[in-house]
Amino acid sequence: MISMATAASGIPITDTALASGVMDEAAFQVFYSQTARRMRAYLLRSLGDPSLADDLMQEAYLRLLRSGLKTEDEGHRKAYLFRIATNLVRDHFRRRRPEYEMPPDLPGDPGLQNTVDHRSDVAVAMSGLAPRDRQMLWLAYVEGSSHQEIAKALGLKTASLKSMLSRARHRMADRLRGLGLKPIERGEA
Amino acid sequence: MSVCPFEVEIVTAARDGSWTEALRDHAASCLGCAETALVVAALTEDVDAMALDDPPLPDPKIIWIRSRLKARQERSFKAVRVVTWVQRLTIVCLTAVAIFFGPGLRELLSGLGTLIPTAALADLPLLISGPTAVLGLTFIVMSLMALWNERSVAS
Repeated sequence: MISMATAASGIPITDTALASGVMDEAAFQVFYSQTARRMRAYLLRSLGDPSLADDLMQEAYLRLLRSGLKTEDEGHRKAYLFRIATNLVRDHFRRRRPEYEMPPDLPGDPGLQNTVDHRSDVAVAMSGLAPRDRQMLWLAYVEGSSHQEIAKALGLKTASLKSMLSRARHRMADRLRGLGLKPIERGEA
Repeated sequence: MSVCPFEVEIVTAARDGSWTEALRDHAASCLGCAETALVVAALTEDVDAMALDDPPLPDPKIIWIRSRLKARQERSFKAVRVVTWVQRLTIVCLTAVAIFFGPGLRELLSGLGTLIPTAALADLPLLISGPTAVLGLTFIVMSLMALWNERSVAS
C-alpha cells in the first residue's frame, strides 16, 4: 500500500514503513540528505582523513539500516547514528594503536600528517587533541547533544563528562588562542 | 563540577551571534564562558566553511542496496544453518541407531531371511540385502551433504 508521503527523490514512502518506524528506501534517502553532511563533517574532524571519513560514514548508515531501529523520532535516529559513528571512530583508533587517549596525529608523525585535513585553523587545532576530546567537543557544541547522549555515545559516565568536556574545551581554547583566534569573534562583527 | 548558569546562553550567542551587553560582560569576566564562546564560534565557523567547500556525498542508493544484500545474505545464512543442524542431528540419531540397534536388527533380518527361500536371497546384491550396509550408506550420504552445506556457507 502506498501512502501520500513522497520523498524528494520521488520514491514513495510506504504506510508500512511509516507505521513500523523502520525506514524504507525513500525515508532513508530523506534522512540521509538531512544528516549526511553533518555526519561527514563530524567524522572528518574526528579522523582528519576525508576518504576514511567517507568510508566510515557509509558504514555508519549501513549499520543503522541493519540495526532495524524502530523509531519515528528523527532526533533519536540521528542520535543513534552519531553513536554508531562514534563507536566506529573509537574502533578505528583502537585497531590502529592501543593508546586511544593519545592524539593520533602529533607533530613529528609524518605518516599521519599527510592524511590529515589541515585546511582550516580549527582543523589544525582539532588535530592536536585526543580523538575523544574532538568527538566530545563536536557533539556538544556543533550537534548540540545533551551530556547524557554524549556520555552514552562515548561510553562514559554522565557525571564525569562535565569535567572531561571542560578540560577538552580548555585545551581547544588554548590551541585556538595559540593560532591567534580571539574569543567572541562571531558576535562582534 | 559546577556549570556556569550562563553557559547555555553563551553557546547560543556564540553560535548565532545574538550577544547582549550582559552576556558580553559576563563572558569577559568568566574564563570558562570566554573559552566556551571561543570554541563554539570557531567550530560553528568551521562547519559553515565546510558546507561551502563540500564534495558530493556518496550515493545513498548504494548504501541502501548494500544493506539489502547484507540482509539477504544473513537470511540465507540463517536458513542454511538450520538445515545444517538438522542434518547433524540426523547423523547423530542414525549413528545411535546403528550402534544400539544394529546387532538386533541384523538378527531380526537374518531371522526373516529364513522365511524367504535361500535361492531368492542369493539373487539379491549383497549391498541391498545387508541392513548394516544400508545404514552405513545413509550415514555416508548424510555426512557428505552436511560437508557440502558447510562449504557452501563458508564460501
